[in-house]
Amino acid sequence: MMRSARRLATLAHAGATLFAALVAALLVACDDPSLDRLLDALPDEAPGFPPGEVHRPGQPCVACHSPYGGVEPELSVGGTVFAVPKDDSEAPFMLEGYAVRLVDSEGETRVLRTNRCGNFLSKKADWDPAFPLRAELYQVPRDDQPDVLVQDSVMASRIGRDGSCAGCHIHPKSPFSPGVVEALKVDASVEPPNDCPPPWLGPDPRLPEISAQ
Amino acid sequence: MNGPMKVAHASRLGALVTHRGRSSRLGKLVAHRTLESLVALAALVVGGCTIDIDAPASLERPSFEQFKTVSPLLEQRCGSLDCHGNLARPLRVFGVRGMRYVNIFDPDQALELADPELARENGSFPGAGGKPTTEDEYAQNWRSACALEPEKMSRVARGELDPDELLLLRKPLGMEGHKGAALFVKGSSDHVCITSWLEGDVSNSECELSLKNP
Repeated sequence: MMRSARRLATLAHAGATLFAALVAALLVACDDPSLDRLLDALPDEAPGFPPGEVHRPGQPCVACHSPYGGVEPELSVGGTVFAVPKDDSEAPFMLEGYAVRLVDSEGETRVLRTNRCGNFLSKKADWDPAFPLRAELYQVPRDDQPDVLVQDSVMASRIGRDGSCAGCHIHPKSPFSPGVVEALKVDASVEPPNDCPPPWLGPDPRLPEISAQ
Repeated sequence: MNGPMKVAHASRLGALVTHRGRSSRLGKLVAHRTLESLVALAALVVGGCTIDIDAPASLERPSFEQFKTVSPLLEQRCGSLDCHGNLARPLRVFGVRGMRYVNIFDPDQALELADPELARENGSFPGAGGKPTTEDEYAQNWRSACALEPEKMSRVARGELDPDELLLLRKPLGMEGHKGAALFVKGSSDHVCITSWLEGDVSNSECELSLKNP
């Protein structure tokens, strides 16, 4: 009887050890190396611009604002609209007064407007879209008529799963990136915004990995 | 030596949870099953040794020429940069709407990875202004589609297997777990476009129609 009890205890201990090892293995397996590489490549918060709706323009919003990134609020979609000067010596700059119209697979539509630093976003609590999404970019030419939208461009492909525009749209253009989300119809008199953090303009953290293959 | 010890051990384990008589029967059963498994394994190994490893592989694949009509559909529906337009995923898809193919064994092309200016000059980037899908990209996409399940694909190409058995269709049809969810239904222009290619008679009209879907 005593021997049986000891054996049962040994068996229980072995089972517990196995279970703990399994949990540890699962936790390690939850790491996403490519997402970690992207997060590691992002700069620190710009001085004077604490976390908020204008911080970190051009960065992949949902990478952090997600259960994996651990930053609240959780976002379903987020990005930044840029003007790309014709002169290559000048860097792209963020655009206010644009709207991104998104249509999800169930026909739900949202129009997200850019703020003074070009950022636009949707909290997951407000909208949890069914991917893939169709994306269109509009100009809002008049402040006093915000519902008047003039189409600028339509995204050629669908957004398959990544709510971060900058998950794919990374400056500069490369075989793996179409460049930043770029407004094509921009008034030449528009100038870069004054009171904004500097945008993240790459480099694409995936390129060294790709070059090494 | 190991066999009897394992059997005895299994028998002891059984004794912890069963009556003494039942554990003995369990031990015999385990020993019997172990012997059966060993015999089956030995037969498999002996059988496996008779394969002629020098014989050429005889996998068949659906037409590459016809695939060029199907590729734009895969590029549009599957090949966005956050899905299969990604080197890290199976079924890599290249093309004008997503990832561009760079032959790293061609020194001139490989430079595009290190020099964005060169990539831009060559139109080697996705989206507006990028060069149209190239012959190399069609070839890569065809290889991706065929290499997903090469043996099954070969059977489909021979007409021995229903195309809907392929992961290439089971995933977008929602019959298999798919991060990108169900993308089309049976009988839709997308579905007919791909199956017609797999069956050797690609439907140009259905493939064209599929590209007009929202």
